[in-house]
Amino acid sequence: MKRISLYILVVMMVSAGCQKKDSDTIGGLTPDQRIAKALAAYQSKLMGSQYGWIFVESTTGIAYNQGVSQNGPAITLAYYMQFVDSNTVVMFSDFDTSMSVPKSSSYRIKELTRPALIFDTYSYLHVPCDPDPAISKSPFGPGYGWGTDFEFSFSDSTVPAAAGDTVHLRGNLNSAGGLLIKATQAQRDAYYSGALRNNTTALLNILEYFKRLTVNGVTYELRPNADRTITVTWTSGGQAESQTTSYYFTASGLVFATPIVAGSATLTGIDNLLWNPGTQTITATVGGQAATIKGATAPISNDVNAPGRWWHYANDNGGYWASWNGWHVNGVDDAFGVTQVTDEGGPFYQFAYIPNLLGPRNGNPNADAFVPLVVKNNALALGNYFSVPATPPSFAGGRATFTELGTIGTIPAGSPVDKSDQVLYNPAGFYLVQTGAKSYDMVLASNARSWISWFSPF
Amino acid sequence: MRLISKILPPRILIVLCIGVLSGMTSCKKDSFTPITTPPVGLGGDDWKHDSIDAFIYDSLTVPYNVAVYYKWLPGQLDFPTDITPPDAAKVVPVLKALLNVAYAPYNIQTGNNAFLRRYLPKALELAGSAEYLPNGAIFLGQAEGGTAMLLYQVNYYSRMKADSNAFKQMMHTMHHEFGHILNHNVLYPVSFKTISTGYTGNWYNISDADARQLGFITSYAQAAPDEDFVEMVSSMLAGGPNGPSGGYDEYEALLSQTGGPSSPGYQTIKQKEAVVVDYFQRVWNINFYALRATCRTAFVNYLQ
Repeated sequence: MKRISLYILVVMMVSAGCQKKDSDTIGGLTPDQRIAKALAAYQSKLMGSQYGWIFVESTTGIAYNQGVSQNGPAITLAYYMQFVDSNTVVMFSDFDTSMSVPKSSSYRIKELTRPALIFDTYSYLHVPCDPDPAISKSPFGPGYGWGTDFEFSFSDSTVPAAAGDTVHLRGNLNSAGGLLIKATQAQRDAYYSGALRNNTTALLNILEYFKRLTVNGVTYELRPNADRTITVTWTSGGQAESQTTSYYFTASGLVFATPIVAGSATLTGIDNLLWNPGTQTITATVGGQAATIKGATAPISNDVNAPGRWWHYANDNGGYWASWNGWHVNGVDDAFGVTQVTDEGGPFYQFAYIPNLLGPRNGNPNADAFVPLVVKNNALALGNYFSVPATPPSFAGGRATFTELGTIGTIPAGSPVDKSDQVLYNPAGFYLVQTGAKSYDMVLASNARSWISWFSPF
Repeated sequence: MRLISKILPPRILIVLCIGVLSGMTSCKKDSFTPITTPPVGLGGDDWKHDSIDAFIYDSLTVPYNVAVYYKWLPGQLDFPTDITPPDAAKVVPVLKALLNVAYAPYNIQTGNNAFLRRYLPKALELAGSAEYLPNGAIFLGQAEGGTAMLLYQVNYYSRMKADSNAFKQMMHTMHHEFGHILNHNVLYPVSFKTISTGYTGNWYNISDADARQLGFITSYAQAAPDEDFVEMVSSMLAGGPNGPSGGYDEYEALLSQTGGPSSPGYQTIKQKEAVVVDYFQRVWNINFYALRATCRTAFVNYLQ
């Protein structure tokens, strides 16, 4: 009996050992063979699209560095990519207007925890990832890009051959979503004929802050924001309604990442934007219908309480409004060179509007200050000379209008501070457009071609 | 056998035996299945080699036995960190600058490339951007236990005179990291560690000019004695940051910020200088002042 048990044990052990062997293979292939097969399948999938791919990347609004996350705007970017051989990719990008010419870089398909697509030398795709804010222009701060990725895992749960005309990707660092869509010959040709640049630069030609899209007799106001979102405003029964979404450009036009639903109309994007210098108008098509975009000197619906809200937010919280660049005038950021001035006590940091900076406590009448902030001994300090507006400004007519009460120090004539003051005291006053919970754009009401973007540092 | 045959008929026993045998043979056969293709990724990645790969092979791998990693390899650099890979167009210019300005002086001083061939870390890793730390500081380079050297900010490289600060910073980083590698092989005299006190993890809150008054050639030198030693090496060979000109300046100019030859800062740094010079002479048989002169000539001649 003992011996029988021994035999049975041996048989069980041997057969158990053999059973293990069966789970080593699926379809007769070992894990290594299956990995190699999957990598080859993804490789031929990418190279198999004759006219390349349109790659749409959407971020989650979270960016990682050193394992520490930062929150910021969620954005959508679009690229055109052609995988020309096993290591080379040629691409276009809508991230910057300069990226509408083809640039070649390398990529590789590699097995990580999942098969991964890695763009392994610097390309357009890496610019929004760059940790240097001077390069990425990222609002997430030094060490963070926009939360985009350049190392992706293939995230479809089907085999590559079954994925059809789309391939889904997921970024390995920031979990940005990627979608590769097979391009048509017409789309490819549009990229190579310069259509991307026509689309990305069109809106920059309109010098007015307010941009009006007219399609099918309905007018919408378009406001591209600094965080790569766009706000579309329209009126419905006398009421202003608006929707903000991230957006991207392809060679075909502007695409709203979330379609704009305005009453019965649904706008998915604006196609074929083309600036016409003669008429100072952009022609386009929306849903197949002809459309135009023109500059306007007033908002489609003025937020009449905004000037008061703006001033009180800083005044009541003991804070101030700050701007990195000062005035934008006629299409030029920092039109008066305030960021370059160093003769006000230190290197320029921000231009600020400080409600009730002056008062009896420092031996002055109550007054606001429109003042450059400079860095002195590792701390923020007021510039040596600046203008003092009366407090509070007038909020009549739904505009903020400023009157000069005096100056601190002597403002040199023609200096950046002097030029900035002359805009502030324009008697036409300013529209205040709220662009975020703690940010406003202040737009000159006379021609809407000068504005300053305020944010609250607190 | 007899006992068993009483219980089981012989035929069943035979079947059992065959079952055991066949089970064993099939397992045996499985473990001998030859692998016709190597496992995925074994031996590293490969790609279509181009002129950059040819340059690396001819100029670094053959003469110095150094592998250069310029394509992004997941997990090779710090993870999970936002670092970008180099622009391919910058790789060869950066390597040429390293060969001419950082490596050639060692060859000239030691007579041939045997010294660098032996001590250069066998892996040189390149990154396009810097690595940003949560405290606001950035990594410009790293040395890993004598085996790998990591150079960041390759995308910022330029050999134009107007950009000489960025170039000097890169050379400073290289000499700094190579100094670490030399120390990993033969440590500097322990007495060096007692020349200064006041090493601090908060070195990034101290300006370079203030550090010089305290007897440290840069603020980073104040991080630890190891860093102090190699900052001395790199500042003497390639100059140091935030000198009197506001940018990278030669060692002598940096010393003017200590408070003058009679100041404690100046004397401390001079003490450290003596240890560095002695270390190079005794351990590596290299005349440090001659090496410095060669480095400076090489640098000036390389700028355009």
